[in-house]
Amino acid sequence: CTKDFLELEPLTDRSEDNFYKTEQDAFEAIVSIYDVLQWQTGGGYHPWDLVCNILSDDAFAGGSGPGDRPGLVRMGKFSNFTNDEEPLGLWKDRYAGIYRANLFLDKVENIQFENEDLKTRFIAEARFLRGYFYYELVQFYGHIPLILKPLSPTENQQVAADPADVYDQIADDLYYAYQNLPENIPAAEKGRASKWAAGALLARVYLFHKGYGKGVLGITRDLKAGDKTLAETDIEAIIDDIVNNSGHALVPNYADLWGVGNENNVESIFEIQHTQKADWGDWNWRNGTEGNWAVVMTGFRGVEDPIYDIGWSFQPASKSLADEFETGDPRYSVSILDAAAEGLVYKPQDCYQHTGYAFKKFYPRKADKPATNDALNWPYNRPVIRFADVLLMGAELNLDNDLGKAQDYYSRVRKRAFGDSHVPPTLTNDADGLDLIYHERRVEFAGEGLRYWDLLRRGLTYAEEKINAAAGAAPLDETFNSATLGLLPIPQTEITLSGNKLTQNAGY
Amino acid sequence: QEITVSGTVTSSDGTTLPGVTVVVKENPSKGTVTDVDGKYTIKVLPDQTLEFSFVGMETQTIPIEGRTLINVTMNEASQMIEELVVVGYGVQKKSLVSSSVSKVSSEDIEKAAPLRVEQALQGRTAGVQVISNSGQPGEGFTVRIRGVGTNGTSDPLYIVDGMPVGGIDYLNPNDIQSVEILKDASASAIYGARAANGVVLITTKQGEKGKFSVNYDYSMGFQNAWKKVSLLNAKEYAIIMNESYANDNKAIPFPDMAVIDSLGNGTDWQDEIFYKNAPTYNHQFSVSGGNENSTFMSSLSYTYQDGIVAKGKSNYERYTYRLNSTHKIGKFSIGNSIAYTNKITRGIDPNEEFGGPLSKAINMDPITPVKNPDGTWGVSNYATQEVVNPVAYLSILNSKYVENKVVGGVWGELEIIKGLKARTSFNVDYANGSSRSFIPIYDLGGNVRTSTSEANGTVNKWFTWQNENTLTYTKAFGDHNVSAMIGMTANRYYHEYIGGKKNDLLFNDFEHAWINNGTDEDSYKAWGGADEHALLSYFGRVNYDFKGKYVFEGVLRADGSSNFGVNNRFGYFPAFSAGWLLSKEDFLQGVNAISFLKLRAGWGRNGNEAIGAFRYTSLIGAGSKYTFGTDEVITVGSNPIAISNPDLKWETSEQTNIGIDARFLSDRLSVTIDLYNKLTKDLLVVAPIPAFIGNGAPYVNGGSVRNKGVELELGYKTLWNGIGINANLSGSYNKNEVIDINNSEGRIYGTSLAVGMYNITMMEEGYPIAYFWGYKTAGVFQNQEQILNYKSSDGTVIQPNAKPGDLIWVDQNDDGKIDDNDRTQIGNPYPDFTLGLNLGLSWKDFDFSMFWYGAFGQEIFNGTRRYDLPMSNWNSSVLDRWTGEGTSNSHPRVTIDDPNQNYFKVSDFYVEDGSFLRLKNVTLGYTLPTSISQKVKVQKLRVFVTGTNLLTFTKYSGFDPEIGARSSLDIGIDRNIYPQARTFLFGVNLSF
Repeated sequence: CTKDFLELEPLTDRSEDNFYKTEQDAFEAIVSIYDVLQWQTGGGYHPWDLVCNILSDDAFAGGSGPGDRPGLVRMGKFSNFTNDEEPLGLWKDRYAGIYRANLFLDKVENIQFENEDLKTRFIAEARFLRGYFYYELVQFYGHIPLILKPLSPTENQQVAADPADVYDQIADDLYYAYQNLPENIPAAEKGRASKWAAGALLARVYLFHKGYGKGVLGITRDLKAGDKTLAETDIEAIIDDIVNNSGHALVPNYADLWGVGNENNVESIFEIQHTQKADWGDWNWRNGTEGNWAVVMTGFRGVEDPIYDIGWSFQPASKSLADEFETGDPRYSVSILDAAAEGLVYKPQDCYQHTGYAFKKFYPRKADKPATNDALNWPYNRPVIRFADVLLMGAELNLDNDLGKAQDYYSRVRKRAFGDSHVPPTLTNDADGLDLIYHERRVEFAGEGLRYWDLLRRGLTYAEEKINAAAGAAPLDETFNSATLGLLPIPQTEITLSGNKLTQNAGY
Repeated sequence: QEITVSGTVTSSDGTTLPGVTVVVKENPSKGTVTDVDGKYTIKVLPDQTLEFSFVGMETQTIPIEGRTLINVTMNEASQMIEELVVVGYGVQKKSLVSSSVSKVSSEDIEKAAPLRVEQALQGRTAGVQVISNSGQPGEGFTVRIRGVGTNGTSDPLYIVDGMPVGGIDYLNPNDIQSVEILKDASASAIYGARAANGVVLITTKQGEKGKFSVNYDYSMGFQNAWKKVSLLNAKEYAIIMNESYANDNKAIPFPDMAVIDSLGNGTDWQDEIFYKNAPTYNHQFSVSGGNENSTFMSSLSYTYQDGIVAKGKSNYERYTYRLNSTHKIGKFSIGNSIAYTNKITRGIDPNEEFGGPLSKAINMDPITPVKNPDGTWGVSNYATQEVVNPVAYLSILNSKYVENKVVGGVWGELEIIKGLKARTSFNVDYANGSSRSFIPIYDLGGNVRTSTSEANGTVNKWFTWQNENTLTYTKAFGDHNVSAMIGMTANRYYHEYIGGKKNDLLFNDFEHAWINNGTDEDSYKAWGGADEHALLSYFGRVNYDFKGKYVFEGVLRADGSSNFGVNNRFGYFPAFSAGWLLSKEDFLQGVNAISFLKLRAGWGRNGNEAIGAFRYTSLIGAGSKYTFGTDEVITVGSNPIAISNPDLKWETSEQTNIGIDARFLSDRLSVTIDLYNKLTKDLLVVAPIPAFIGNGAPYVNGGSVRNKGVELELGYKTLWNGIGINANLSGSYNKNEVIDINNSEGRIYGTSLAVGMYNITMMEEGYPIAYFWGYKTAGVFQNQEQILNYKSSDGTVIQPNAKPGDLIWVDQNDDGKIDDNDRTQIGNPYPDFTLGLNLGLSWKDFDFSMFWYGAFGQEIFNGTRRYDLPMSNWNSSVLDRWTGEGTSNSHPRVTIDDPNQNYFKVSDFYVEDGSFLRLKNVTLGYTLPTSISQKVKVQKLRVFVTGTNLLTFTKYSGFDPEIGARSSLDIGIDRNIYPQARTFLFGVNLSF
């Protein structure tokens, strides 16, 4: 009686002991890994694309003043404190995703599946997502612990893994996913990873490993997926496979890529899903929303306009980026909200590090505004990999061995922007050719968070030159700090709590 | 045949006593009082009896026996010796109590005329700190007994007539007979796993045998803010803003001097949102009585209080009803009590930097008008984000909370044989609270806007039942007196809630803001959940005394709680105490000055199990979701919420107490002194784990806090020239120190403020709990040379980018740079010393009392200005800012960008001395002489006037130095606190 009286079961939760039993449990566990994709805080405010834009020469931190998210302002100046919120938050979110993936992979063998294919798909999805999170971690921090199973709190004394091993693990996970994920994602499952998403992400990892991993971090060996060494030809084959067999294609009109009506279009290979339907209002648990608050962060302050809404004036786009667009490039007015050109009425005096430019692809628009709790619930999806990126990666990879194919892939992107009658510049197998592709990437993907990593993979000198050139007088003074290798600081609490087994990145 | 009796009443030292009440015992409606010379005359029947009574004196009952002259000598009352105090599961003679128990009687409570019981506890007993959380009606109180020992819940356990209740705001203070506070562990260990923060025992009134009485009390009053904060007016604001922009080499916002001159005072936002002469009123009606076998007490009350801020949006209404009765049938006694409370509250955020209307009023620029000439709300061109027109903001706040609560129970007691009693009781506490709110469509500028209307509501239900069984045996063996008690308790708690919302309402007002009036089907939402708790306890106590001289008590309690896993489900809590009544020893018999002297000492252990349910196991939460598909289907995912710790157990508090109770000069002077040392260990803390582990950290038992202190209670009462004097002073000193925190940093980070001020409070080894953690300043740089000469030991210029007028940060670790490693203790929110002084005077038919309360040594973090929004208004202290060499060494220059982070950094610039001394209450009453009141068949008629918070002495510049806790690690932070009201109350007490 005593025992029964005191032994209560939770009324609204299940416990670890009675979970991970059925296919449905397995699916819910997979969904919980996907959930982390759309988190934008683990402390502070750090949507992935916004952080990457601020780091690059495309944007500044912005906000209402230097005290508004100072961690972001310092990030823009490559001088983060080791205990700033944003570096810790980015780290924390991704390791939460990795924990959920590891836990699933640990438990999956004991789950009863009626359908073995489903089990394989779930495992491939978990590994895709783990690879995805590790890739973002290794990009931001360089030297990170590589954890492949759920740890107990006493296993806190982890050291940083050799970055080469981290890259290989990412390649292994993504290559497995490329081989085992389904080719077609039905309409009702849009947002889940496909074979093509894994392949395209693997190509991106390959290029970054080659340029930055080898070029800056000093990795000496080639990328490996398990026992298989991934040669450039293997990646080119994957690119060709996607170009020819995936069913993905360019959306004919660049402007039709954006807006809530155009989400998960044919060009979208992997896309992070957001919706306003959750109508989330808990500011203390902002990751609970399914909305995208990078949107509210992007809007200018004090806007009075029939189309555009107000926001918090973060990540003002740089003049350097605005100037990068060729005259007549229709992508300019799709990608950049040029306040002067559009005669926007707003309060520039309330916007810190103000440039007069905002990213427009995800700019808050009155027509899409959530009815309540609007700041947290903007519905705009974030594209991770578009078909255009696969083409431009293909052009870059083929530059040295198949110039014809490179030109073809490159021209498709150019012509989609400028029209079929456009005569694209001619690629050459040298720095000029690469510069052409780089220019194309910068304007094609403006605001999508890819630029900083493109800068880094051409080396620190290149990154420094571009970033410093985009800076200006205070408060736009931003100087790249080569000593950091372009990395964020390892969060100080992580070093402390690891029993000082982790070491701080250089330059901090 | 009536005769006339007269005489003189004197005190034992021979002085005559005016104002002594003389009544005929057989006919209490007949009576008189002595005149200035102590003389009285009364017509009575010769076989009747006269009763002489006077405050502080023993009542004398004298049969007339046909005499016409009766002179009386009154003796000072010495009944205190036999005063009873309620202890857990029983009562004891106060003289024989060997632990530390303080008592507040119904008279004390009545004098304070409080709306809530906690108010009556403030300053009346040493060692009990009571802070109102804010001045908003219906707001709770922070009650701390002997300091704060935990980072978790530090509220005491409240027991009302044997039933543990979550809070005591449902009680009508007039229903209370006594409040006993069990302060040390030897007193509170009988409540085991929930007593680590002390126990407050409340006993409600019962009817008296043979006395039927009817009472009616009424009071009404007016309240006003006792203070306004001094802010810049419109013209000053424009000048300071210009200077701020100019200091950053930016275009100034008010370039035209003529415009500045025309601004004048502008809008006084405080005046706009304060409710002047906010009313409060209170009705009390009670009937009580009884005969030899039965008693009853029944009461009804109604209380209404408007807040002094936000007319109509901040108020409190409460109805209470109570019926207590007891019956005796031979050896069997039964009783029951039932209390019903209905309360309705409407409130605003009382201490909040983002949503609080006071924060908006303090930070809003004074240039913006309340309304534009066309009748629309004024919208600021300067203030941003949450700082919007506070009057407009109040107009959109629509919410209401209604709670119905029933607390009641029955008990039965059987005297099996003489001295052996079995008692059983069954109690329930049921409450139903529903909140409802309405959000209209609005756009107030800044971030404060919405595009659709919304109705939402949540209903909570709480139900607790408790069954308690005790067996008590009392017997004297010659000079040896023994009493033993054993018992068991089963307590079960259940809570559920359900809520919903819908948007786009058919009606646009609060009256019709019900969910069914929403039209937007997509916005239709429901939520709900439930939780429960069980506690099973066994306990026993032995009391022994020898001739009433040597006293001993031993207690043991075993508590089993559903909050813990099988590994640590039960905890054991022992306690011992002993007392020595020296005044009963022969060697003190001849010492007339000492009328009572007792030494006592005790040790005990108790626990705190309030950590939430199932923290020992790992729950799978369904809170992770992701959207799939072109139809955007939100799909539920599941994951473990946190890492589990099956070994989790309660916090344990161990306390040693030494005390003296003494009375001198025929009991005129009483002294109680207590010394205590309380160590709370096994604190439940979230042990930080590296984030790379990837899941929430488990709760572990890892930390300890020590509270040491001294408490003094002094009482003095006498009669001087016909004036009855009664003075009580209580003082307590407490020192708090965190002994250890079992994580690698030895720290737990505390609360943050607004945007960017992180971890203002800190819990850290070697420091007081929740100390203010920030940068120390060393004045203001007066010139460039000083900046260049400000170097660390190795010659590094510490603030090379500073400008004259910027704050000088102290480089605590001398590493040549200013970062978080330089943050240190810059304040302590808890007072070192608190003081309460009650003074009561009575003269003839007048009574007067006043109550002073003071707290000293604590600091307040003044977080009233939204420093992160540079166009926020300033406190007028900014007029003394640095404007050039030699102008100020404390208030830095003003700037918009604030490159030196003068205002952005958490620093001692914001820390102020929070000490205060406050005249909490002054009351003057007049009782109509019985000879007159009896003519209208009234036994007693008293009228009174009370003032509260009439005087406050403090250096603190904000609204109010009394700032309660939001949690154990969030106290003393002023986010624009809702201030205490200054109240004038008029009332009448009637007895029939």
